[in-house]
Amino acid sequence: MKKEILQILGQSSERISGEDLSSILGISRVSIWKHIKILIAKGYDVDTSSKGYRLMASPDTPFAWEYPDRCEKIHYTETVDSTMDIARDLARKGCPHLTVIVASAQRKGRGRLDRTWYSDKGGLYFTMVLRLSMPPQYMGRINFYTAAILTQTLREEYGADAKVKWPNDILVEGRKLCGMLSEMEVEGEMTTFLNIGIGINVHNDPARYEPNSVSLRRCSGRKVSKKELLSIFLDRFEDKLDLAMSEEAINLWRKYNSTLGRYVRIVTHNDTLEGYAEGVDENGALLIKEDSGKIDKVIYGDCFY
Amino acid sequence: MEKIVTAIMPGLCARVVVSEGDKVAKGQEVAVINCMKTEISVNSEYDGIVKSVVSKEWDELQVGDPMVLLTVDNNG
Repeated sequence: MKKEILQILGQSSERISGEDLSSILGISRVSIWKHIKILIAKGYDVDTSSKGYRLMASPDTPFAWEYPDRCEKIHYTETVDSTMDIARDLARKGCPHLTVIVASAQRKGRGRLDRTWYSDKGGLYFTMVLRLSMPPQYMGRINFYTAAILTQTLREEYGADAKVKWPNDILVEGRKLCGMLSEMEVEGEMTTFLNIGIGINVHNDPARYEPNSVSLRRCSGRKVSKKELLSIFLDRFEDKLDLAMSEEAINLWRKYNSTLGRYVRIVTHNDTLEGYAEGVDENGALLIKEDSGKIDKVIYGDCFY
Repeated sequence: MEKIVTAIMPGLCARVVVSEGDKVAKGQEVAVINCMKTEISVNSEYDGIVKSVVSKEWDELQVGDPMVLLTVDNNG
């Protein structure tokens, strides 16, 4: 009901009476007032008087009701341990495709191999649950597609000089703006769900913990609405999702990557490999040409250059 | 009889989440593989008891490599 109240108030510059809202929405004036009180407590600036209500300002919080077309599939919580944990739980319980778990802060934000992703307030942290009927080896394409669409969004909508470093970190002038981590479950030959978690430094100051990081606000030079950023990204992501399982996903990634053509170092727990990043294969594996001319196919490890 | 839970994707063993002697149900996660920053659950296809853990963290795996050895009922 909050979604409907906000839609009506948001479309009018005039005050709207409780009686009119009650009549339009088919609930009592007392119920309208209760919803308005909750919205005010959540940070909405609603001017109230005996003549009715007027929406003055909305908080930059990605509440589910801020996304009328996705309302049922957005799950917002102010602070969570990790959006990945909630997403996994919901996915195992059968939540629908493109369910999104979003938080303002995470207590235990995770990076790859149990590293920490610092998740202070001011950032945007969310996990998408994807149910795509696909063999598991295609997950690289989906991840590349996601990184490419997010990079495209940051460049075109926010003017950030963002590029993707293999496989999917998004950097601006070599400093980390976004990180991604995915989880996948497979049954038989097909994927049951692929959860993609994304952390974007928006207004937070990640450099306090990670010197080599940067915020979108700093990159774009202006205030950024987190709820708008999420909305724009999800629309773009869904719009071309058909491409995500094809090699077009890899081509899109190539367009925005900063890795290919460089001399790189790939570090794993057991080994270090150096060479020229010659290309990526059809599923996203990095092809490294060593000085000897030997080509290595890399599917894990930290990439440095 | 014995059954082996094997790697379903190539990658690094991120962790094994069961120990020797643990009871495991069909569909239960027993290990996690990391490949291109995706964590892939490796689930048991059987009800059984963990006889031994074959893989350890950081092991490099190919599809089909053994990760966990189970003892299962003959009809399991």
